[in-house]
Amino acid sequence: MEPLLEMRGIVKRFGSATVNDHVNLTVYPGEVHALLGENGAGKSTLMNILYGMYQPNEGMIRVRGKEVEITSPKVSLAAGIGMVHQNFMLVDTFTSAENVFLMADRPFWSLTRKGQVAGELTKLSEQYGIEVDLTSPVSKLSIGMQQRVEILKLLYIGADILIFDEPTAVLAPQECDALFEIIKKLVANQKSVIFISHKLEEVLRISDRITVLSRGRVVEDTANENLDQAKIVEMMIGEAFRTENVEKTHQTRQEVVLSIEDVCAADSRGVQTLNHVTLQVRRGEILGIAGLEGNGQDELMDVITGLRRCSAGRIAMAGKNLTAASGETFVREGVGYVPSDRNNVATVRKFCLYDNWLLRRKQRETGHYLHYRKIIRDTEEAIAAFDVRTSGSDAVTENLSGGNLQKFILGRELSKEPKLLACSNPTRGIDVKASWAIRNRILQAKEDGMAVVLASGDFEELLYLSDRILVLYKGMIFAETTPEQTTVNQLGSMMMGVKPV
Amino acid sequence: MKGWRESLPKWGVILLAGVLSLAIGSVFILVVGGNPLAAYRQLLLVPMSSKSGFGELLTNMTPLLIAGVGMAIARSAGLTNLGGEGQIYMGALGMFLVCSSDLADTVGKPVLLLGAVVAVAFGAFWGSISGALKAFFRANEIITSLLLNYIAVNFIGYLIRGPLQEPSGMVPESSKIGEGLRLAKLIASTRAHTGIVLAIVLIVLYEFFIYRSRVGYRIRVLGGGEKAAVYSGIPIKWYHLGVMALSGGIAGLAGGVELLGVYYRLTETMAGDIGFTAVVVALLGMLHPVGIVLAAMLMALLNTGAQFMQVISGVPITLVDILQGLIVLFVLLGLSFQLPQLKRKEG
Repeated sequence: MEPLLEMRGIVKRFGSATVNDHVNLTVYPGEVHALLGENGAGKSTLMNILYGMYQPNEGMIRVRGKEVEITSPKVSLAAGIGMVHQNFMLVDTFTSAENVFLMADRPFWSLTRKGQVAGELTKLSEQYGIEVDLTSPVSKLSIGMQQRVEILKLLYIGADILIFDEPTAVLAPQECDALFEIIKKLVANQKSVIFISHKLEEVLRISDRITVLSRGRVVEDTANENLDQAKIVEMMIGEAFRTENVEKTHQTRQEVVLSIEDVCAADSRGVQTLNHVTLQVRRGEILGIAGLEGNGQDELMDVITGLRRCSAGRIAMAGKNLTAASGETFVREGVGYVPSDRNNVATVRKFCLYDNWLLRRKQRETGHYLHYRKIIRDTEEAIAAFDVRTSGSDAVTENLSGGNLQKFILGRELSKEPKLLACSNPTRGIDVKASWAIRNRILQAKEDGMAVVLASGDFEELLYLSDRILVLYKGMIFAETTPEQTTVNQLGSMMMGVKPV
Repeated sequence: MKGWRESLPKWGVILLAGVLSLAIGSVFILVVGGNPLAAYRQLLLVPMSSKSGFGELLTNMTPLLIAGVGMAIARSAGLTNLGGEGQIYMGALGMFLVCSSDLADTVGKPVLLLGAVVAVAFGAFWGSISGALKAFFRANEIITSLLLNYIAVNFIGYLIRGPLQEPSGMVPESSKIGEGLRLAKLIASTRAHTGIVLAIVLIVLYEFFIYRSRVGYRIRVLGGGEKAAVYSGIPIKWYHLGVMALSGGIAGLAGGVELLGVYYRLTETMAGDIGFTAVVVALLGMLHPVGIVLAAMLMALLNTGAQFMQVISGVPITLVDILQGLIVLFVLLGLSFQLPQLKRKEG
């Protein structure tokens, strides 16, 4: 069978670094091809080349046997290559049909009308079993539905090769199942799917072939037969890897660190998304917060760390009332925070690392005059201790890969020896090895007596780390459970507002 | 603290921008029938090589440097203060009021300390209006500070035609301040005055404040992104207010120094274009203390040399405006070309 897509000997260099080193990738029609690798292994660069964002230094790309030079995303689309991005490329106030119409980018004299587009979309959605609401504005659709709009959009334009960039990161388990059904229908119709994910069980479940990248090279290109997670991890990092190396105990201590009562808060649009939440966190305890995006956990995390004022209720840290306190007071009282937005919230992108080392530090620690010699020394110690791979403490922060940046941020927050550590999706989009390093650090912090609040969309992480789990649904605590009492699927149902039977 | 290593390629860009703008500028000179080489010699070399030229250079540079520091502080916090003009007038007014008071007659020169405080306070008040509008009503500080210029300059215009007009009532300007209060000359028979010393002290303070102090660090965090500032526990509104006040206060000081060192009286043209050129100085200098000094020197050089160029070569003074525009344009262009390279991820 003739391959649909061939990438041959792709080389991409940035300055002296070779990010893709003679990479080959062959995708056949009707195939789900998984692309695996740690952060910085070169996956995104390879996909950006395929998508026309970067030009390779060497190598060529053939689509249906014909060589193409992909100079822009437009050329890529015209060649039948489409990408379902992690952040959807949709105009919120437009309906699905309008979004597709916009993307189709017809010349202004075209006679195609929106109505026709909607008709064709209905046909396509029936053919592939993709349920979408074509008439409501995209902002009113669920995340899963928006993703389906993206897929439909690419199909309408005529894409044969669909790249899914971590498509399940934002989905509940049940929505994942629906997505996988759609992917199966796609390949049954001789489309090809390139599937990028850090979740190995998904990759094993859905893909036909697996290509593993490491340090810019293809280290494995194999059919998905007789593989398990351990084998894949071994391919990715080239060594057998033990996942659980911190003993987990349930020695929760008695002292309550954080106590919030009846707390309400509004999101940035002014809509109240957190409704009368009451909870307590004790020393030496990890409290897991589960919830689908938009069910109030972002606001909850911001409220307990002082980034957002609550509109009602009471907040107390170690007995001290912080209800109307300033953000600075939270910092002073020892609230560490690893927010989910590493690039814009937890760091200043254009600062070098030692400048970011000072972020969210209390004045008693830094003093009024900054002693940079000591600051640089501390930064370098943390870089070494937390295995942050970078050129040094003067590296510009935005040049760090996600995993390394997150290790740096966690190292910084732990260095403040906070009483309470709040972590929001600490391992989202981070490779396996760095994820486990981060999880074990969090576990260690708990063993050392820190109180930890962990909000995460990764169920296995929640079940592995938490002592207790609260499920948020529509801004309220829908259920409380423990890892021993629940499973991934039960957790998923509760997040969608269904009590497990 | 900013490493020189990071800034180096940017300096190259600026050098190239200068060369390119001179090249394009020479086309304009040829068009008006001048000799580019001769014109550039007068523009760039005469102010550096003659005593009178150098004196003029320092005179022009002093307010640019002081106000440039003020504008750079606002830029560090991510704010753009286009109200330098108005703040300079307000500062000059504050200084004038102190210098023409009865107190000045009895105390003598030490009253200048009070004058400086009042000049800073007047400028800070003018700047803080924009800061407060930004902090509490989310009004864009670029627009409010710009529009406040018109209020300030017309307010001065009213004063020097009314309550503060010189006794004869002939010209729209105030009377001069006492000779004992004026700043000493730095170079005899030129206009250069000791204000440049103050400007240099200020630039050193700027380095320590912005790059070595906790408050300065927090100002830079705010400039790096409001989200990170909220995360860091910085009270954003108060910082907006405070930074605009500080920025305006320093511009006000520039106005006070101009009054003491150059004009000795209030006029409605004394700020020239200093307020706006100072913004260019801060941007060209990339908020770096040494960069600001060099940028202020360059802008002052162009302004000074322009006069020689016009007198000797007959090339119109407006050509310098063209050159300044070209330099800023090329530098911004060059920097924006550099940006995509900075975005790559480390492996």
